[in-house]
Amino acid sequence: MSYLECNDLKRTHRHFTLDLSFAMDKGELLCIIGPSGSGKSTLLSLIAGIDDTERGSIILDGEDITRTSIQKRRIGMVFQDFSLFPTMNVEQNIQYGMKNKTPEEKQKKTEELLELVGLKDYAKRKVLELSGGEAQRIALARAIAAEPRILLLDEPLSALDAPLRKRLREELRNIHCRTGLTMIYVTHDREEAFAIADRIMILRSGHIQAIGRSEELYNNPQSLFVANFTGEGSTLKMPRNQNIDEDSIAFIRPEDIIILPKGTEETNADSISLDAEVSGSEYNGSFYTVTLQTEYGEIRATSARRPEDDQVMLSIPKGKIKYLK
Amino acid sequence: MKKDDSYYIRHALPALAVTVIVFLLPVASVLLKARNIGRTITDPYTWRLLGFTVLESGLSALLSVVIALPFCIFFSRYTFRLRKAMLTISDAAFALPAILAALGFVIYYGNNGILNNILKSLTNGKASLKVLYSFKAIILAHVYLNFPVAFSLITTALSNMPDTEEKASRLLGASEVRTFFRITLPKAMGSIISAFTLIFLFCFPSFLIVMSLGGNPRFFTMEAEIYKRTYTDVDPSSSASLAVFSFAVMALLLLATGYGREDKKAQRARHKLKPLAGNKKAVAIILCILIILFMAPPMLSILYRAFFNRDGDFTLKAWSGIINRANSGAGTSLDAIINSIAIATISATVATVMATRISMAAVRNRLNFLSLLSSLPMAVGSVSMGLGFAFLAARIPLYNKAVSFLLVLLAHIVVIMPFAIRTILPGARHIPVRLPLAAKTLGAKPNEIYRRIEYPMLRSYRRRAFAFAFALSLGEVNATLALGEGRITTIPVLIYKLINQYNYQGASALAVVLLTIAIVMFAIGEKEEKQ
Amino acid sequence: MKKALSVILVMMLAICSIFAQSASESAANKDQKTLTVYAYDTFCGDWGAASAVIPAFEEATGIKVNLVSAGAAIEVINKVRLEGANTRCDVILGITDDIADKAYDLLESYNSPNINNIDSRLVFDPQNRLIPYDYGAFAFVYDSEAKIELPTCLEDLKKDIYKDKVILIDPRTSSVGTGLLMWTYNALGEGWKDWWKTMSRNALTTASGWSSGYGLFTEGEAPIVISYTTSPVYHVMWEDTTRYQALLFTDGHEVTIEAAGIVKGTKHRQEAEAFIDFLLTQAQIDLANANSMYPANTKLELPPAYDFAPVPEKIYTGSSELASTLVGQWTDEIVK
Repeated sequence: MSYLECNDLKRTHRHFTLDLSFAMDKGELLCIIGPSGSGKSTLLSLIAGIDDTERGSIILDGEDITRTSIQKRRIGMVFQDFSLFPTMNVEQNIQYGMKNKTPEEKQKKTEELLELVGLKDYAKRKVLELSGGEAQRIALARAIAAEPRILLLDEPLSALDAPLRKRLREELRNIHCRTGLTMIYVTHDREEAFAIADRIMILRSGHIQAIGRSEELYNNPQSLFVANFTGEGSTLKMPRNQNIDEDSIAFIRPEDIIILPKGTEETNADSISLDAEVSGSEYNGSFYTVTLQTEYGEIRATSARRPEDDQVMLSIPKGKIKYLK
Repeated sequence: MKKDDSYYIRHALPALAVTVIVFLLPVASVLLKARNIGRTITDPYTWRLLGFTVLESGLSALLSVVIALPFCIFFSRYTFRLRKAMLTISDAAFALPAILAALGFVIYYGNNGILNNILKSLTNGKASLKVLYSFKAIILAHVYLNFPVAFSLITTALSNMPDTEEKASRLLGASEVRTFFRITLPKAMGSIISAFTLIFLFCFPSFLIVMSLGGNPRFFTMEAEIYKRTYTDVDPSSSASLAVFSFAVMALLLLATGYGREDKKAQRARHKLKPLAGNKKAVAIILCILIILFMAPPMLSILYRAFFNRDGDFTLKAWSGIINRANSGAGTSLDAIINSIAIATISATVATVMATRISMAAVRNRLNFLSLLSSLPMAVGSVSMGLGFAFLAARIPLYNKAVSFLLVLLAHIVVIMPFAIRTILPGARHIPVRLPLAAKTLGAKPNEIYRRIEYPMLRSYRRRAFAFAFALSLGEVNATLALGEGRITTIPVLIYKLINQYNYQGASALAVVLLTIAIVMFAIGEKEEKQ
Repeated sequence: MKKALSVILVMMLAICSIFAQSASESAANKDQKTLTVYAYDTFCGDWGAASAVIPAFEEATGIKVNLVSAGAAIEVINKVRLEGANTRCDVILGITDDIADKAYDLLESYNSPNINNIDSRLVFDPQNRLIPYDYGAFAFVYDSEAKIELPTCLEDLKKDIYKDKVILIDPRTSSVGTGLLMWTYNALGEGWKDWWKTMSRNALTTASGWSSGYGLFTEGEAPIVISYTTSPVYHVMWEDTTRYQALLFTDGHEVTIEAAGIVKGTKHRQEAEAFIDFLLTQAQIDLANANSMYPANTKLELPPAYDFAPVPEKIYTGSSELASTLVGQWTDEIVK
């Protein structure tokens, strides 16, 4: 049996309906990604108990918590805006959710947690004096301090700048490993999700589009939406076979395309060749992203070198072309 | 709505019950006596009274707000040494009973007042200013008494709004004037309307100032007519009808301004007050001087009268008179001071706690009508309220001083509650919704969230609400007289008694005591929150 | 939490102390003869006449008085009426002649022997249900330092020389104003309308009540104000000055008479009679002093300060009907 099971959950808002089931294991870090309005935060609200489900059940560690009040669920939550209590200092914030502990134990635990999040001497600091990154670490420490059975993180890094985001997500992954906490991490940043997730769930208008390990989702997307959402790629109106006409669309990742000089003989039978004209190229530091025009439409490819000629030939392994809907 | 959100509404219930019962009982007793409302509504005289009353209160409220606005904007942007003192000075006028405000005005602005005597001595008796006994005197006095309401409410609201939009507007090349009209004014609209409504409701039942300083028997308000029908005509049913009509008009105004006025989503950041620099220093000095010139003289006039007799000779007679009464046994000045402080402290404390509860319920359970409901006592003029209380007192066996004391307390609480709510509600709206959620996920019970997070976060608002409620209770006289049965003497009650004994100087001395207490209270209320 | 507790504690203490105080007040001897008196609030208040009169009466007669303050005089009547047959009230006092007719049906006659000592012009109820104990006269008071020509009658005030020199009080919101209105009616007949029309232009202002009107006067805003003949007494006693003096007009003066009566069906008729008689004799000077009125009993010597309160020869009395009719007409004539 899984650690967390959400069965047949349903919640209707004005413009969309959340309707899904999923399960996760103990100690797992599940990332939920999806465009805004896809229901990520609604799902977290349902699990945390902030919002009530209309139907279905939530089972945590074998216990049905569907109707349990927020306070009794023992589910931690870290918010995008940190939501630290401004009337308390760092220490008081962290100790707020601690239960059944002597003051000494609380003290000790607070020190441990502050060390865990890398803010050792911050206990007496005022909350309003913290920087964004510090505040989020304290929020995390506060959530962990309450010894939650599961920790929900609602876009915890989106209020921070890019380098800090990158650093913090590594730390977060580290903390996850060290504490073994089961976590659900909501983000709209694919890169972030790939970096830290054990598994990724892709949501779209209240429904699960895909759920699985990142590599799986990237390499074998089940739908065009998943393919697009997990990474770059071009869509071509390219027939699968000369004769069979299907309205599925060919999806190709940029790194799977090899750019050759025009007129190169195709030797590999597992690849297909296409004539193309270079319409633009961008330098990305370690590689170039080249935009090309083919008879089936625009295509983007990565290349180590800038193409010398405008007219080129593309070689694409057949196995890398996904026909998706 | 989650189950335990009912916590807020449950804990607001006692407060609501007290408000509704203590407010509804006198109102119902008035209502029951109203027989010929139809005739009241069709009587053109009623409408003429209404016309004049709306004119004077509307103009007073409008001018108070317009005059206060530039001060509010400046005071919500910059911090400087005299900032707090200015807020406190202007607030103090709020505690003045109408009779003393009128007296202070006469001593200062009167034809034979200090201002005119100065003018005469400067110009060898040629120049004199006729301020009083005209319509403009009514408005001036009302603006004087209510400027602090607008000043305090709007300044607080603006201080709590981030000024990023203003900065953006200036960066986009808009002038300061344009930025004000396009950005700041619309943002402040909620608090402006709120202040306007409050002042309107304060001026609507005013008649001592309207009649005595107006100088024309045609200047007569609804409340004065209610008073006339009650005490001169001794026609309870016709006075009750008019009271009901007047209540309906004010309640309508409250409804019209109460809904759809909810402040925009509260921002997290509260902007920092900037220190003064360059020519802003000059602006600050000018604004402070203007406030002092406008607010201080009538109060200083009362101080002057407390120490100087009408021939301009210094005397401590009024003070020794006050102190000596302490030895005469019953009804000492000390008793009055203790009573006043006790009643004001208790009622302001209870009102602040109850207002906090009601505000939180109104915000958390999205029940806007709650704040409106508890604002209704403002829609009842003091005469009608006194009428209701007097009628009520005739029904309750008030043979006991303790019962009188309790009733006076309850009446004070209901009278000051609307003000406390209007002060605290914006604060409640400013608490981010996520904070209680975060606390809940940490296992906190609603009670704990309220006690440890929300209540402390409202501290500065509660303190200000307490100060205003305290001042309002300190100056209250109608309910105290009606329910205290002459046995509960407060400072303003004693002031009226002294005046009835021709002792205006003693009344001024007591007024100085009253103002001092109020100023101390406001100084605490305006204390800057340390970040 | 501690703060909340301490607040509650303070409140409990405050309330308890008051209860204790009142409990000791009400712990009276059961066998003692008692009398319940309803009076208007300023009489009962700490500084009212009650503080002198009631203890003196209890001392003299051994009767315990239970004094109930019931608001304004009209509310005293209303309270007794509301309580009906169950009322504990034995005596009401402070009922003025202009509202007397509202109270008559609640009262019993008492032909006190002391009535013979009362100025007969004051005895407004021939059935002696309401018995006058003091009275006051409305008069214009002037500031002797203002150096104005003194008016001798109401009509004089209409003169141009008194433009902005007179402070009136509105008949609609003050009994002093109503008194002045009845005075002009009694003295000038139909001429009252013209008098008020002229005066509403000639007067500086028409104040809402006596307190604000008289305050304007003492601040020197105008040298003449409508008040009482007894007003100068206060300035003599309090400020030791004879600067302010009352004007006796040739028209005569309107008076207001305060009276007491025994409530119908009282179980303490004897004590009630004793109380009324006390009011008409020993209490007279205390009452006059505290209420700023003249004693009704003509056999008494007035305190020396009353030398500054000239007693008018010719007096008028009014009634509540007259007051109400006149205020209505006044409103139609002057402001509508």
